[in-house]
Amino acid sequence: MARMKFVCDTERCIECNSCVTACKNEHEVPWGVNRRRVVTLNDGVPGEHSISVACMHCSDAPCMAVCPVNCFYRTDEGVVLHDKDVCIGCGYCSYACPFGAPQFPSQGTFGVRGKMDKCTFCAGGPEDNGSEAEFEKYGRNRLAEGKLPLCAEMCSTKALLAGDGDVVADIFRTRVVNRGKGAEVWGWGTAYASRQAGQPNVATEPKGEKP
Amino acid sequence: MLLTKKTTDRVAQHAASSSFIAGLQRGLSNALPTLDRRHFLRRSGLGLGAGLAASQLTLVQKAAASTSAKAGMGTSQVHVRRTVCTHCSVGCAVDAVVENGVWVRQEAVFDSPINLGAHCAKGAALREHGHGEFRLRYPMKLVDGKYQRISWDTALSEITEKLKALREASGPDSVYWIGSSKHNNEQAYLLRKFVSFWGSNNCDHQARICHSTTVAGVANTWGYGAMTNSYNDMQNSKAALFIGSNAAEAHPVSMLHMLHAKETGCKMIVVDPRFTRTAAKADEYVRIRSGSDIPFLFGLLYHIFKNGWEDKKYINDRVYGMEQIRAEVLAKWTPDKVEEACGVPEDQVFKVASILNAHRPGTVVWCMGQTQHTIGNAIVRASCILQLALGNVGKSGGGTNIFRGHDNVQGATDVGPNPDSLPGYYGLAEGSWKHFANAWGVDFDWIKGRFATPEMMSKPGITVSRWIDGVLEDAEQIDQNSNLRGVFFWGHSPNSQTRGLEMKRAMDKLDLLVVVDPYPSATAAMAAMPGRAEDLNPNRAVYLLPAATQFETSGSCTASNRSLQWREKVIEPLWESRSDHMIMHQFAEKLGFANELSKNYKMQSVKGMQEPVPDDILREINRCVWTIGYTGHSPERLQAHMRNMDRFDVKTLKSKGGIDAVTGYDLGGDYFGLPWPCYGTPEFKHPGTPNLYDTSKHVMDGGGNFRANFGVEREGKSLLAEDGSHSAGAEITTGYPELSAKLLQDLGWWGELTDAEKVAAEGKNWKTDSSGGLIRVFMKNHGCYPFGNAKARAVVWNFPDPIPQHREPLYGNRADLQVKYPTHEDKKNFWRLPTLYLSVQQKNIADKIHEKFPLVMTSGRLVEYEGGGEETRSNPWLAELQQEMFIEINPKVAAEKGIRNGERAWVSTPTGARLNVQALVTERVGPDTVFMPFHFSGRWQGADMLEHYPKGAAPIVRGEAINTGTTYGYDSVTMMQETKTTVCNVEKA
Amino acid sequence: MNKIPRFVQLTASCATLVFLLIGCGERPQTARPPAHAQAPYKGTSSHFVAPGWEQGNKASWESQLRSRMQNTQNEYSKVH
Repeated sequence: MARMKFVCDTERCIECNSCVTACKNEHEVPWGVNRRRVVTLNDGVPGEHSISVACMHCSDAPCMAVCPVNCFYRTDEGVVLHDKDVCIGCGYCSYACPFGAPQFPSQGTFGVRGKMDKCTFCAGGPEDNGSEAEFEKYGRNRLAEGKLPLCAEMCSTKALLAGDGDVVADIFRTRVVNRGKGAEVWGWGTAYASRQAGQPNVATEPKGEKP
Repeated sequence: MLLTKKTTDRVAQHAASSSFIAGLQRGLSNALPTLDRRHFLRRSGLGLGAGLAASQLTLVQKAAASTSAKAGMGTSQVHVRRTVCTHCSVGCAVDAVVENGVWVRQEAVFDSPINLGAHCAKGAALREHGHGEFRLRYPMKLVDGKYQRISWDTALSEITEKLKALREASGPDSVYWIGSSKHNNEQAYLLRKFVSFWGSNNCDHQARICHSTTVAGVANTWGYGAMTNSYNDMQNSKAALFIGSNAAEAHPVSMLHMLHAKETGCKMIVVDPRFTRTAAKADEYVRIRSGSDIPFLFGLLYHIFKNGWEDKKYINDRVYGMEQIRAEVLAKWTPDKVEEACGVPEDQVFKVASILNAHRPGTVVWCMGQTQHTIGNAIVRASCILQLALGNVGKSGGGTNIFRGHDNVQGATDVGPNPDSLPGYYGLAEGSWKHFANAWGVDFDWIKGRFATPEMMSKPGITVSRWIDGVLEDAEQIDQNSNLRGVFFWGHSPNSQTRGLEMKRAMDKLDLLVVVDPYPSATAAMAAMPGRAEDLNPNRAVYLLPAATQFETSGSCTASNRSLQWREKVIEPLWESRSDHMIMHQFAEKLGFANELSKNYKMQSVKGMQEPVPDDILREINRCVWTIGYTGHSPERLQAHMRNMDRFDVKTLKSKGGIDAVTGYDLGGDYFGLPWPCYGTPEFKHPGTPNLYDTSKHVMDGGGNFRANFGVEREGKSLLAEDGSHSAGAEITTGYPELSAKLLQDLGWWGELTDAEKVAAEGKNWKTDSSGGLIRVFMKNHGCYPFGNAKARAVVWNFPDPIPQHREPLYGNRADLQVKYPTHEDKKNFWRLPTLYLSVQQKNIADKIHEKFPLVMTSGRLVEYEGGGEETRSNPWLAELQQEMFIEINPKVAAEKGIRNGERAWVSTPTGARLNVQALVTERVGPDTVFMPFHFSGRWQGADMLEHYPKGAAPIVRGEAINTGTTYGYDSVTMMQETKTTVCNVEKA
Repeated sequence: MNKIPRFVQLTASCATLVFLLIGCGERPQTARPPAHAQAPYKGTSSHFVAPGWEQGNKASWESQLRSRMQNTQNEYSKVH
C-alpha cells in the first residue's frame, strides 16, 4: 500500500491560507486551534517563500516515540493518528514535533478537555468511519469517503499536494521538468529521504524530455 | 504580513537556533497565541461542529424542521447545490452539500474550467455563510442612538412614507440609491429599473470606485470596457506585466493559471510601490512611486519605439494615432525624465521593455493600483497603448487582463445601477429610454412623468464617490433641484469610500438612511455613533433591513472574464432576511409601481412571500441588452454549462462537445459561461467571446475586431481598419461601420431577413433591433461583426488628455513634481457637482503639506478579507487569521520615528483624521511610502464602535478604516476616487 | 588477591556494552491501529461518500484515490 504524504511546493505557495480555512471548514476546528498554518520566510523581501505546515505524518514520528501513553498509531497508509481517549494531554509530543503540529486548545478538544489535537490527514480516528463520535473528536474522515485532504484539494495554486507519495512525486516531477530546475520544495528531503534536503534523489530526479 | 502569526524577526530567530529549540518555541507559541482572544467568541460548544450550527439554524428555520441531532452526518438524503464564490471576480465554483436544509459540507468543483477546484482562504471558508451568526437578523430602526427591532411591515411602511414625503418636498433626485456589486445580474438590473421607475438617475455602485476609469478608458480605446481575455488564457502568455495588481492576495486563484504559465516559460514582471506577495513570485520586480504609472509605461514605450520593437503592421492596420504617441513619448519621456518621475533607472526600464519585446504575446494585468487615481482614465489608456504598440491585443496570450474586484462587479457594471447609462451601457438619450420602455412593456411617457423634469431623464446622476457632496454641498452649486436628503445603502460598504470624516457628517445630515445588507453593520455603527451636534438632523430616520446572501437565492453572475455562471439556491434565507429582488418588489408595491416593475416576471413564493423569478428577469435582459451581447445567455444555456463543466477546455474555455442530459442542449462549440458578447438570441447559438477583438477566429467562433464607435473618419484619416484586417472569414475584407438596417440594405443582404424580422428591424440598428435578425444575417451569413470593424484609438480626443498625461496627485509628498506635472483645472459642473483639482493642489503646495505629511499613504487588499470587510470579518475562520488593522512602515522610517514592530502608531492625515493602528515594520514598502489594508472598520480614530452596532451583529474583528483618513481627489472622466496616492504622517502612539 | 577470571570480566563488559547499545538503538515503530479502528477503504455509511468506487474493496479505493489525486491536484493532467 502506498504511503500518504503531504508536500508543499514553495514555488507555488502564495500564502493565501486557503489550506487553513479549508481545514477549519471541514473539521469545524475551533478558534485558536490551527491544525495547519502557513509560514513565510523572508517576509517582504526578495526570496520570500511560504510553506504550508501541518502534521507531516512522519515515517519515524517523534511524537509517537515520546508519547508516555502510546496514544499514537500509524495506519496502513502511513497516516499518523492518535486516540484522544488514551491521550492525557501532557504536551510532550509538542516538544518532540519539529513542525509544531500538536495543538492544545484550552476549551476542550473537540469535546474532550485538554486533549491534543492535530491534523489527521482527513482520516478521522479510531472510531467508526464517518461516525458522529469520530467527527466530534477528530473531524471528518475524507479518506473513508474516497476523498483526499481538503487543504490540498482546495489549494489555490495546487502548491500543497496530498495523497499517495508516488503520485505526489509524479506530479511534482512534471513541474520540475517544466521549470528546468530542481526541487526547491520544502519537506521534500524529509519525505523522500533524498541525499540532500531540498534536492530530489536519484529515484525521483527528472528523466527524459519534456512531456 | 500577518502580524499575529509571524514576522521576519521570528523567522530569523528560528533559523538561528537548533531545530529542537525552534520546534519547542513554535510548539509553545502555537499553543498560546490567540487563545486569550477567544472570550468574545466562545464557540466552545463548537466541538459539536455542524451539529451545533445546525441546531442554531433550526431555531430560526422553522420550515427546515431539522430536528435530527445528526444533521450534518450525511445519514439522511443530501443535496448538492452548485454555486459560485461571492468573494472576488474569478468566479470559483463551489458544491454546497445540504442536509435537512442546512449547509453541512463544502466540496471543491474540480471540473470547473475556471478554478479547477482551487480556492483562496475566502472561498475555502464559504460555508460559514450557512451559519450567519453575526448577520443582521431582523429589521431595525435607530431610536435614541440604539437600534431596536421592528417588523418588516413596519419598516417597509415607514420607509415608504418617508420616501414619498421626500419626493413630494424635494423631488425624486433628493434620494440616492447605492446598489451593489454583490447583487446578481438580475438584482442589479432590477435595481436600475426600479430607480428609473422611481424617476431618477441618482444611482451607482461599487464599480465607480473600483474600475470606472478602466471601463471608460478601455471602452474609448477599442470598444468594450472589460477584461479582454481571461484568467485561463494567461496560460498562453509568454510574458505578463502586473502593474497595479496584487493578484496573489486579491485574485489568488488567478495565480494558478499564472504560475502554471510561469512553469511553461512565461516571464512574470510585477511593477508596484510595494513588494507584494505577487512580486515575490515574479521574475522581475520594479518598485515605482505610487501614481507614476504613466512615466513608467511611456518609459517602456520609449525603448520600444527607439529600438523599433513596435508591431508596425499591426499598428498600421488596427491602431489610430500611434504616431502622435510615438512623437510625444520620444520627446517627453526620455530615460532621465522617467527616472525622475517614477524612480526607476534606465537599465531596469530597458530590461523590462526587452522582456516584453522578446516574449510575445504578453499580457498586461491591472487593478485598482492603476484605476484609483485622479488620472486613472489616462493611466489605463497608457497600458492599452503599450499593448497596442506591441500588437498584443486581440490575441490569445495577450490582451489587457483587467481583474475586476467583487464577484459580480462586472455584471453590475454591465446591466446594473449606473448613473450615466441604462443596462448594457445604453446612454440616457430618449432613444435608449424608448428601447427600454418597449422591453419593459411600459409607456415611455409614464417613465418620463416619474422624473422631476424631462431634462433630468438624460442628465447623468451623482456618482457614489460623491454622494457625500450631494448632501453637504451648497444647494446652489448642485445641478439638480435639491440636495440629497435620503440615501439607500443597498449592499455597499461606507468604509470603501474616501473622506470618512465628511461621510459621517453627511450621514448625520440626512433625513433618511436605509441600509439593506446581510451585514449592514459598518454603515449602521457609523450612523449611530455620535458626531458633531450641529450636523445632526433631528428628523433623521435610520433603518436596517436584513438582505439574503447570494447563497439564499438563485441567479447569474458575471466573472471578470465576462463568463456568466448560474448559482443555484443553497439554503433558504436565514433569520428574517429577504432576497434583494423581493425587497425591491415589496418597495415597488408600497410605492405603487410593482405592476410595472414585475410585469414580465412570474412570481414565486419564498417563505410565504412573493418575489420575481430570477430566470424571468434574465430572460428580459436577454431581450434588450444587445449592445454587449447579454442576449444569448438564456438561463437554460447557463444552467446547462454549470451542469457540464467538465466539457470545457481549461486553456481555451471551449466545449469539446457533449449533450446536457437534462435539457438535451448541445454544448458543442460554446465557450464556458458564454463570455459576453454572446450575440443574438439564445437560439442563434453564438458561442460567446473568449478573447475580445481576435481576428484569427470567425465571428461565429468568438472572433472579432475593434469597434467602430467613434465615427469613420477624423482629420482626414480613416478610423476604420485597413483593408485586409478583419475577422477570419468575413465577407467584408475592409474596415466597415456598425451594422444598421440601412447598411444591410446597402449591402444587398436585406432580403435574407424573414418577413417578421424585416418589420422589427426597419429603421433600427443592431443595438435596437429586437428580433436579432440584423445580427443573424450579418454574422452567420456573412461573417461580419455587428459593431463594425475599426481601429483602436491610441488618442482619445474626447477625453481631457487625449494623449495620456502624467499629472501628480492633489496630495503628494513631492511638491517639485507637482509643479512640473500639475493636475487638471477645476471643473464647475461635473456629474452635477463642482469638482476641484488645481486649486486644491496649489493650496497643498502653498501649505507645505508635503512637509507636514511626508509619507505617501496607499492601500490594498488582504487575502482573508473582501471589500469593506464586514462580511469576511464576521467569519471566524477568516477573522482569526487577521485580527489587527496595521500599517506597513519601512524600517528606516520606523527607526526615525522610534516605532518598533508590533507597537501602536498614530497615522494622521491632512483631513485632520487620526488613526490608531499596529505598526508592521517591513521592507515591503519603500522609505517614502506606507501601506494599509482597506478592509477594516469598527474603530474610529482610536475608539471602538462596538456599542453603536446593532446588538449581536458586530463583526468579530474591528479596526480603523483607512478611508476615515483619505483625502479629496477624483478622476477627471469618471469621478473615481483617489485612494492609492495620498499623504500622511506616522507617530508612535 | 582473588582475581576475577579474565573471561568473566570480558563477558561482563561485553554484556554491559551490548546492554548500553541496546539502550541507544532505534526501536522500529510498530504502533498499530487499535483493533476496533476501521481501515479507510471500508468506507462510511453516510451519503457523503464520493461516487465511483466500491466501498470495502481495497483495490477500488486505492485506484479511486490515485485517480482523484490526478484530477484534483495536478492541473497538468488537464492542461498541456
